Amino acid sequence: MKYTDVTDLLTQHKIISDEQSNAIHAAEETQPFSIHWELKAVLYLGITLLSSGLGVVIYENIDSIGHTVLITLLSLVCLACFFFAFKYRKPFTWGENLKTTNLDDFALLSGCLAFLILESYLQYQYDLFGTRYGLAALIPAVLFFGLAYIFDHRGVLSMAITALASSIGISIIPVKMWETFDFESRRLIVNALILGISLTLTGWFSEYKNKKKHFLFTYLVFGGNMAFVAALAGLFTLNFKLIYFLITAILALVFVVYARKKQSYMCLLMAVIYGYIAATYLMFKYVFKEVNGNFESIYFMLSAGLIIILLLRIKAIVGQEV
Amino acid sequence: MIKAYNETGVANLDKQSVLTEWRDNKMLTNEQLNEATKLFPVPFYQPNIFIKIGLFIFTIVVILAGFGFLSIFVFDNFISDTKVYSYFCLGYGITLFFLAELFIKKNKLYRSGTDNALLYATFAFLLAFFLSITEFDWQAWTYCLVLSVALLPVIARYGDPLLSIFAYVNFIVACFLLTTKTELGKAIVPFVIMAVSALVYYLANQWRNRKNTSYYTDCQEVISTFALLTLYLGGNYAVVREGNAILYDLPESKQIDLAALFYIFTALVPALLIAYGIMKRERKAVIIGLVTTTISVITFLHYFSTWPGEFESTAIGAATVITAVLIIRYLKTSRSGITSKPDNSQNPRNLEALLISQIVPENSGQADNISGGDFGGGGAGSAY
Repeated sequence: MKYTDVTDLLTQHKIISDEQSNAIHAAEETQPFSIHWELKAVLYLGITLLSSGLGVVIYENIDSIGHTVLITLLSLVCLACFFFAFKYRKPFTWGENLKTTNLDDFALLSGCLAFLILESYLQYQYDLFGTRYGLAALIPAVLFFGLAYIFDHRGVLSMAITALASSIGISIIPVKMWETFDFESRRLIVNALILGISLTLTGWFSEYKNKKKHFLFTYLVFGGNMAFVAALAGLFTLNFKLIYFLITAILALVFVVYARKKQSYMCLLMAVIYGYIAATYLMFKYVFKEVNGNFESIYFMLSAGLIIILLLRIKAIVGQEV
Repeated sequence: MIKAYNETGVANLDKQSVLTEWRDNKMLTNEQLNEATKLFPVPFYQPNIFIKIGLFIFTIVVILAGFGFLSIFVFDNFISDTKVYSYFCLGYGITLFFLAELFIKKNKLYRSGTDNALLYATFAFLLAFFLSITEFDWQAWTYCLVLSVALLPVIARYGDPLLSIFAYVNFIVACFLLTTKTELGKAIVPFVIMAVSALVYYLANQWRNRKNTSYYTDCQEVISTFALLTLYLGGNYAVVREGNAILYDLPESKQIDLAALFYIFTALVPALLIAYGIMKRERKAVIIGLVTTTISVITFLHYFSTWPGEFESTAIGAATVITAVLIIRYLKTSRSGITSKPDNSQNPRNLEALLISQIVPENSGQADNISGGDFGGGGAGSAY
């Protein structure tokens, strides 16, 4: 086995004792083979199939089942899931709760899912919220944020952020974001910008205060991308190009400063890519139109080449060991 | 010097990851890890994954812009015909190759984004040259075979997993095309594919068990993964049946000879893969087993099920959930060296969170989709 070479060398250099080396050997031999994530994937697949299948079955047989029965049933499922999740929940901590088994996670997610279906159903059948769609989306958002913090669950957190975004009218599911972004609407763009920046700040704040620090990634992926995409959408489609360019530039700058401070390479990459798109857009819009000649490819070669050089010297930019 | 990257460096990279794993499992202290890491120096520029992505993207931008710039220059000065163009591709590809070598040497790159991009671009331009200089005249199988053979020295030099996949797929396609040239071949092609896949898997495993091949670990992994996949697909009932229809130009696929054998194969291989993977602690076999189980279920449903789709989905979903829950509960305490608890070394939780947001339906969007309401899918819209 490969690891014996490593332990031999380590004992030779007296970095580990013989006992420790033996302990490592024993652990490598006896450590159980974990199929945790494989089982989890199967579970998610199952629940996706089950809920989509059941949804159609119920929808087609709604007359013979009856609304009351269905709502009662959904509420029961929802309550049962939350009950199970609460019963087996881990003590609350502001840190990361590493000890999860699959099933409490699963109960929590199923409960959230059932809650969403139940709410949509009530809205569809009884018009519970009337035309206040924002409120309808806000309720699960609040609930999910609470649950995400209590149960320390990043998946529920991402559901909460999604719900919050849809309460102000944006679909932020990463893949769907570009598809459904309504580029014409200024209000949407401004909303998305504000929400994106708030989420980013929340993430940074939770890191700064060391409260649920590990939620940072989720906050940054959703919030940061939302803010940048909104700013670019404003730049591409709205009139006040200078303002949106400045917003993009400031966002990029802030992200670079943060990246330097915390060695966050994801932030650096976001700043570089979105900033580059904005700058390139301006070049094409205002510079290349005016001058003749084959400057576009020269521009791309020089600018992208410069970025490559910068990224290859990233140590100097970020200011620490990579 | 057959290898482009410093071999000891690559091996040390592996060892460092083993050390980190031990630290994560609390078998080494942080100080010990620091000391031990010094024993295995890695001379490469190894930036964070996000920087690698950035380097890759921007290198591609430069390569394409350079190509655009030069081709305008070429076509302004020379008569434009395909011959000139293909030699131009050749020249550009060779230039990129030397650039890749230069960067790897000078900047000590090892799969750092830039070298990957240069390597793939070199390959793409040389491929374009090769295809256009032969004017697509050769038979398809010769192209596949030449490509897979031509890639061997490239793989030997760079150990690149993506090019290894490409070479293997070309090889297996060449085997398929070559076998189906004769009538006898058409009849036995599933068995040929399965036999070749099994052989490749065996050889890749032998290769992996040899000492000091850690330079090629990724190649070995992807090749054996794809070999298992083609082994299954070669005997999958749906693939054989539909392939049979295509080979004999049938308007509609009909029942095949030896159908029972392929039923058994379709049903059994995924189960065997999972069992083998768990016994041998080969994660990739387990994962491929799960993926192929899905394919097998879809295969059988497609040909035999008379249920409407939503019932199938409900029943299978319920069965899957129940099975998974039972296994998770059963393996809570580890049995025969298998556990359903996570180990410390793998932690894709951030990824999981993103995936969940993809699966879960958005609030209000669903109900309104069903009612055909005035705002579209995705739960958001301008009607607010």
